[in-house]
Amino acid sequence: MKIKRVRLKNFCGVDEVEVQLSPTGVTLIHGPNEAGKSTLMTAVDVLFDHRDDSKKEEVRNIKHVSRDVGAEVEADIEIGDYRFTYFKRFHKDRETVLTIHSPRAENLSGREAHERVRQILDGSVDTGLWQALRILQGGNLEMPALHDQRALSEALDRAAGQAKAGDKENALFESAYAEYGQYYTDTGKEKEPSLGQARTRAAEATAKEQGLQSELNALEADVTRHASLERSLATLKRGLAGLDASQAKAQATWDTVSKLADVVELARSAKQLADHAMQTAQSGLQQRNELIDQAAASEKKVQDAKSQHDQTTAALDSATGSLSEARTKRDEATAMATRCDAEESIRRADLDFREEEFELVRMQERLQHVTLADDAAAQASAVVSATKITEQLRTKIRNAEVQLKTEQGILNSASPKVSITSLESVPIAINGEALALQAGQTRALSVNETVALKIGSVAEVRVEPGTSADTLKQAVADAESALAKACAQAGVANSEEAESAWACLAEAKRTLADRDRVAKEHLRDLTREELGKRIQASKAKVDAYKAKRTSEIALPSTSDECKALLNSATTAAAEARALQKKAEAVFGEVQEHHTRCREKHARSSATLEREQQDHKNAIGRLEQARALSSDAALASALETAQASAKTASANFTAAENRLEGADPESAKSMLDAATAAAKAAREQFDAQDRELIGLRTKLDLVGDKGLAEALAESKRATFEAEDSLARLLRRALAAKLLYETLSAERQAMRRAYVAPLRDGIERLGRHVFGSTFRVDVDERLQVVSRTVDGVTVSVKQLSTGAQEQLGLLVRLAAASMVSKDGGVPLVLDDALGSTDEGRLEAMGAVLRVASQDTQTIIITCAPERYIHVGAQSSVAMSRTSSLRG
Amino acid sequence: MKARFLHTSDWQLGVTRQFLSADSQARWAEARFEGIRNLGRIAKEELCEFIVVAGDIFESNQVDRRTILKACEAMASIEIPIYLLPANHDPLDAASVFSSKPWKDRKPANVHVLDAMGKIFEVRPGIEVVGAPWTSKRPLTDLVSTAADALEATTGVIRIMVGHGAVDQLSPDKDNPALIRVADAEKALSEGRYQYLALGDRHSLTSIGTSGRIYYSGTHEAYDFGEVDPGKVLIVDLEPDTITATPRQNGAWRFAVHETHVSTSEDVEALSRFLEASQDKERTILKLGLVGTLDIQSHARLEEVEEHASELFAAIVRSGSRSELSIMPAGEDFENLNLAGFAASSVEKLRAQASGTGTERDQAADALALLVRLVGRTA
Repeated sequence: MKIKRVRLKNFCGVDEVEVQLSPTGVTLIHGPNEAGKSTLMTAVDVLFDHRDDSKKEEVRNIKHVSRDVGAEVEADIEIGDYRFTYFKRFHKDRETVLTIHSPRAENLSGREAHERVRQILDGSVDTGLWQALRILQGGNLEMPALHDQRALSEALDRAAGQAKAGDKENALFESAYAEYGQYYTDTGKEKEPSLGQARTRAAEATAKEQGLQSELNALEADVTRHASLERSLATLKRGLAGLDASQAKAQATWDTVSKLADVVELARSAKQLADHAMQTAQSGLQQRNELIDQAAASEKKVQDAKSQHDQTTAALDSATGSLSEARTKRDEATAMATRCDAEESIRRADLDFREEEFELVRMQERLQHVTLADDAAAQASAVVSATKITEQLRTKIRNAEVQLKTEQGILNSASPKVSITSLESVPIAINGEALALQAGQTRALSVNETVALKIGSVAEVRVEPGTSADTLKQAVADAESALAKACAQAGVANSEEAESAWACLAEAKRTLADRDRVAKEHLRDLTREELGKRIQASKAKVDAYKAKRTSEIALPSTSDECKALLNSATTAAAEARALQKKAEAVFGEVQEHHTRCREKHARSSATLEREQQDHKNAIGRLEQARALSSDAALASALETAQASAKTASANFTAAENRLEGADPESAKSMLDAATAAAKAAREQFDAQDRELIGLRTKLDLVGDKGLAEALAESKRATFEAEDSLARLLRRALAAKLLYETLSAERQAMRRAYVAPLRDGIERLGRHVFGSTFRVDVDERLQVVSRTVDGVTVSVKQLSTGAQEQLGLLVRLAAASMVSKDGGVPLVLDDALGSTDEGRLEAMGAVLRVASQDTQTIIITCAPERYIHVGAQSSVAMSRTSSLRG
Repeated sequence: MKARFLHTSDWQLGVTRQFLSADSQARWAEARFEGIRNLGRIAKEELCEFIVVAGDIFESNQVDRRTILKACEAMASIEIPIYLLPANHDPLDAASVFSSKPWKDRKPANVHVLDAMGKIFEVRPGIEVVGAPWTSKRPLTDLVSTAADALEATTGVIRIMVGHGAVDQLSPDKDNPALIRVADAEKALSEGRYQYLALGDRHSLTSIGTSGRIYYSGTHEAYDFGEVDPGKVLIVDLEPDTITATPRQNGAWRFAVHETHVSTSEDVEALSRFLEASQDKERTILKLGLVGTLDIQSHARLEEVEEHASELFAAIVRSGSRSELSIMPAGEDFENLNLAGFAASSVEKLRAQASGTGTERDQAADALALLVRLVGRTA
C-alpha cells in the first residue's frame, strides 16, 4: 500500500492541509508542535476504519476544535493494482466517495464505498503489520509485534523457500484457533463458559446425586432398622411376661426371709436392753467404790500439804530478816556515792570557770592589738591620701635637681671668674651683700651675671658677664623651673621634701600592710565584731558563774589548783560508786531469795487450801450417793440384771439360727437378679420403643420427600451432564490437538524463515553498530539480544538510544521484506529522539538505503535530526495550516 | 358364579431412565399414567368388574409427591374397583408409599390396597380378592403360600389370589427363599383355596404352570430393553371350572435395539433409510449397536444421520458394549483439500497419530475430522 496524497479540512485543529507523499523513499513531514503532523496519520486511520456516520470516540475526537462543520479527509491510495481516491466527511453533511481509477474505473459512495475499500484492504493489505511497524510519539522503545503478521509471514515464507502456505492455510489456522478459543484460553486453560461450566454442571449433578443417594441410603437403613425394631420389640414383649413371673416368685421367698429377719431383730433389741441393764448395775457399784477410794485419798493429800506449808513459812521468815539488813547497807553506800559525785561536779565547774576566765583575758588582749593596728592604719590611709608624690614624680624631681646642678656647674665653670683676695681687711660687698673676707683669704666668684663689687670705699668694680654666660644662665633657669614644676606636682617645696614625703608614704603603706597581718594573727578566722561578741559571751559566763556559785567549798584561785582538787574528787567518787554497786548486788541476791521463799510459801498455802476443799467435796459426794442407795442395795441389783441378760442372749441365738436356715443371701440374690433382668428388659423395650417412635416420626417426615425418584432423576441429569461434558471434551480435545499441531508446524516453519528477517536487521544494523553486529530473533520474530564485538546484551538491558535504533532497524528490515508485494508504509513519528549525533548520521544512511523500495513517512518537529537521510521529499507544516507539500 | 376382571402389574410409576433426555423422560413418564387411564378404558370396554394390580405400582416407596397425586388422579378416572398389591418396589414397610400423606389424602375410593397377608377383600358377594403383600424388599418365605395357608377352601365363591415375585420354574436363583413355588400354588388352586393367581414382577405376559390359572400380566407400558411383548393387560373370565385369559395391547412405547455393520457410505445410507422407515419414532427408544470402520466423510455423514434421528426419536442410545465403531481417515479425505505448507504437514502428523491406537488415535481422528470440517467451511 502507498499513500500518495492526504488532504484534511476542518480536521481537529487543522483548517486545511494537503500533503503529497513520495511512493518510495523517505518523505519528511516537519513543523512545530500542534501543526497537525501526527493528525495526518490519524486521519488515514479514521478514513479507512470508520464509516462517516460513526459515533465512536475516534470519530468524535476529530471534530474541528472551533468550527461547527464536518471534518474532511481525502487520500490518494495505491494498493496492488488498485489506484483510488477516497473521501469522507464526518459529523455534518456526511459523505463518502470512492473513485477507483484502475484496474477498472468504479465510482461508489456511502456505505458501499466504505465496504469496497475494506474489501480491497482486507484482500491486499496487512493492516496488522502496518500498525505494528509504526512508531508513534512516545513509543520509540517498543519492538514491533511481528508475530502473526500475515504479509511478513508470507514474505518470510517465500524467502525461506516455503511459499506454500497461503490464505487457505491461514484461514484454516484462524478457524482452528477460533475453535480452540471456544474451549481454551491462550494460556491453554479451559474456558469457564464452555468446558468449565460443563465440568461444573457435571460435578454439581454428581454431588447432588451423591447427596440424594446418601439420604436415601439413610432412609432405607432407617426402614430396615424400623422393621428390625418391630421384631425385636415383639420378642421383648413376650420375654417381659416370663421375667415378671420370676420376679414375683423371688419376691415371695424374700418376704418370708424378711419376717424371720424381723424376729431376729426383735430378739437382738431385747438382748441389747438386758445387757445394758446389767452394765448399768455394774457401773453403779463400781462408781460407789470409786467414791470411797476418792475420800480416803483426799484425806491423805491434806496431811501432806499441811507439812509442806509449815516448812515454807519458816524459810520465808528467815529470808525477810536478811533482806532488811541488805537494804540498809545498800542505802548507805548510795548516799556516799551521791555526795562524792556532787563534789566532783563542783570541782569540774570550778576548773571550767577558771579556764573560761583565762580565755577571756586572752581574747581581750587580741582585740586590743587589732584596735591599735586599725587606728594606725587609719592614720596611714590619711597620709597616703594626702601625699601626691609618686615613684614617677620622685624620679622626675631627682632628675630635675641633677639637671639643675649640672647646669649650675656648667655656668660656674664657663663664666668669667673673679677671684678676690683680701689683702687687708677691707669691707667688701658683692652686689650689696657684705662679704667678710679676712686678709689673705680669697674668694672666687663666677661672673654669670653682673657683679657689683664694692671694695670698701676704695672702688666699686662692675664685672659684666659675656653673652655666653647669659645662655648658660638661661639653662640654669630652665632647670630650676623644671625642678620647681615637678615639686609643685608632687606638692613639695624641694627635693628634700620630696624625699621626706616619699619616705612618709612608704611608712604609711607598711603600716597598712601591717594592719592585715595583725588582724590575721589576732582575729584568725573571726571578724572584729565576732571576737567582740565572744568576749561579751565569755564575760557573761564568768560573771554568771561567780554569781551563782554558793557551795561552802572554797573556790580555788587558779586553774592548776582546780585541776588537783578535781582529780581527788574524781577518785573518791569512783570508789564510792564501786561500793554502792557491790551493796546493790548483795541486796539483789537477798531479795531474789526472799521472793523465791515467798512464792513457795504462797504455793504451799494454795495447795493446802485446795486439798482441804477436795477432801470436803469427796466426803460430800459419797454421803450424797449413799443417801440415794446404800452399798448393799447396789450389790443386789447387779445380781438381778445378770440373770435377765443371760435369758435374752439365749432367745437371740435361737432366732438367728432360724433365719440362717432360711438362706437369706440366696433369696436376696434371686430377687435382685430377677428384678435386674426385668428392669433391663423393660429398659431395653422402652429404649427400642422410643427409637421406633423416633424412626416413625423421622420416616413420616422424610418418607414423603420422594427421594428415590429424585435420585433417579438426579442420576439421569448426571448422565446427561457427563455425556454432554464428554461430547464437549471430545470436541475440545480435537480442537486443541488440531490447533496445537497446526501451531507447532507453523512455528517450526517459522523458525526457518526467521533467518531472512534476522539477516535484514543485521545487514542494516552494521551501518550503525559496526561489522560485528548480530541479533538473535526468536520464533515470534522478536529480537531477543544484540551482539557487538562478541558481547551479547539482552534488548531490555540496552541503553534507551540503542533500543530505539534497534527498534527502527527491525521495522525497516520488516518493511523492506514486504515492500516487494506492495508492502505497507513505514510511519515514524518523532523517532530517534534519544539518538546521538554520530548514530543519527548512521541511522540516516540506513533509512535512505532501506527506504529505496519502501514508502517511509517521517514525522518530526526536529528536521535537522534527519539531515543525513536525504529525504525524497520534504513537507513543512505550520500551526496556521493551509500548506501544500 | 362368574367373574370378569382385568389383570395388570408393574406400573412402576415414577421410574426414570438416565439415557433419556429431560423431555423424553417427561413424555415417557407421562405415558405410564396415560397407560392407567387406557387400561381403565379397556376394562370398561371389556365390561370388567374390577382390576387387580399385582405389585410394583410405584417404582419406589420414595416417589415424588406429584407421582402419587397423578397416579391417584389416573386411577380415579376408572369407575370400577382397583386392588393394589404392595411388592418389592413399594413394600409395606415403615416408609411405604401407601402410608404417605399424599396417598392417604388423595387415594380414590375405588382403590383398595391389599395391605395384610391373606386378608380377604370382597368385591361383591361371591367374588373375593386376597393379597400376599410384601412388607420388606427381601422376604424370607413364599408369600403366596403363606397367604394361602390361612385360607379355607371355598365353594360358591370365586377367589383371586394376588402375588408378586419370581416363580421357581423360571428363576435361575433357586436358593431364593421367597420364590413362589408353582407346585404349591397349583395345589392351593386344586384345593379350592383360590381360583386364580394373578402375578406381577415379570414384565412380559407369561402363563405359568399347567393349570392355566396362573399368569404374569406383564407391565402395562414398555419399561426397558429386553422385554418380550410388553404393554399388555390381561382380561380374565373366571368361573369355578373354566378360565379364559385374553391379552389386550395397552402400551404405546417401544424399547428397540438395532445392531448393524457400518463400514462404507452405503452402510450409512442404509442405516439412514432404516431410521427413516421406523414407525412411531416419537415413542421409540432405539439402541444402536454399530460396528465397523468409517472414513472421515462417512463418519461425518453418520453423525449427521444420527443427529437427525435424535431429533425425531424419543431417544437414540449408542450401545457402549456392542458399538465398536472407529474412524479411520482415508487418503481421499484429504486429497481434495489441497493444503500446503504447515497445514499439509499438520495433516500428515495427525494421520500418523490416527493410525495408532487408543485415545491418541481417537483424538487424532477427531482432530482430522474437525480439520476437514473447517476447511470445508472456509472454502
